[in-house]
Amino acid sequence: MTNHLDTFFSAIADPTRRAVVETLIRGPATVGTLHAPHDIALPTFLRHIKVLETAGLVRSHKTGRVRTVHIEAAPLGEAERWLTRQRQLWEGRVDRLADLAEELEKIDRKDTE
Amino acid sequence: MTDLTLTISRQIAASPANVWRCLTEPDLLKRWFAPDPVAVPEVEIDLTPGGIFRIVMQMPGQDPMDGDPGCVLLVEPERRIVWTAALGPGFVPNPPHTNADDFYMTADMTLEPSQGGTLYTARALHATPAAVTAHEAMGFHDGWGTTAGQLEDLAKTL
Repeated sequence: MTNHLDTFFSAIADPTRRAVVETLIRGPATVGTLHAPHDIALPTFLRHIKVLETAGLVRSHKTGRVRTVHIEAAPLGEAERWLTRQRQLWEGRVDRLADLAEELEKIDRKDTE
Repeated sequence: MTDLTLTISRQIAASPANVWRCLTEPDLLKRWFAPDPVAVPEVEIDLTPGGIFRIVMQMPGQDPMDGDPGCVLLVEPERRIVWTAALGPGFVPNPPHTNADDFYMTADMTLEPSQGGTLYTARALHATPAAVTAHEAMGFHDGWGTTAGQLEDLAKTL
């Protein structure tokens, strides 16, 4: 899983690839459609698609002369779980911090009574 | 692009002075920083910009996870403390993590007097700006499901 997540983050570290992923989240698209907004040569663009495929983020298939690209949900799910864990971790920290600070506060009050 | 930041606020029924102690005194930090059953055998903190910030965690029956120490960035007593794992003492950058699940974090914690107690806000900033793009694009909402093996995973991400 660690390597998978690593590949995932490096795959979407590039702005072109990130834009492709964002487009594909809304639904499958042809290479032509995906390439259109990017001012780069098609072979360069295809290399970005290849990186995303290698990372398991997208898959593609060819029908006639048209290649269609789909998103793969699993790696995105891993990133989401990572974020959820971070949030759970910090929620737990705040709970314990509040308990401890309130405990100190009670001791202070007793001391001044 | 948005950075990957988690923000959590809480009204605490304790004075800013007492919350500050919990954030800055090693013996108190040990009591709240890690989730049970993770222990915190050692904490070092030098409350000055460039000072050391080091928290050692330990899973039951395992060796302590003693990584590169972090660095205190900003100290406003009873108001705000910021420390980071990306830099070591003296602001010297730490080497990259070998475990891809470990992303450098900066913690920014502020205290405001509020309703006779303290409004505490913790911001956790992470060095993975790309992740938030995926997160926003998916319409991610805070999930609360406890996942199997969560603690072990948590320990790895600390």
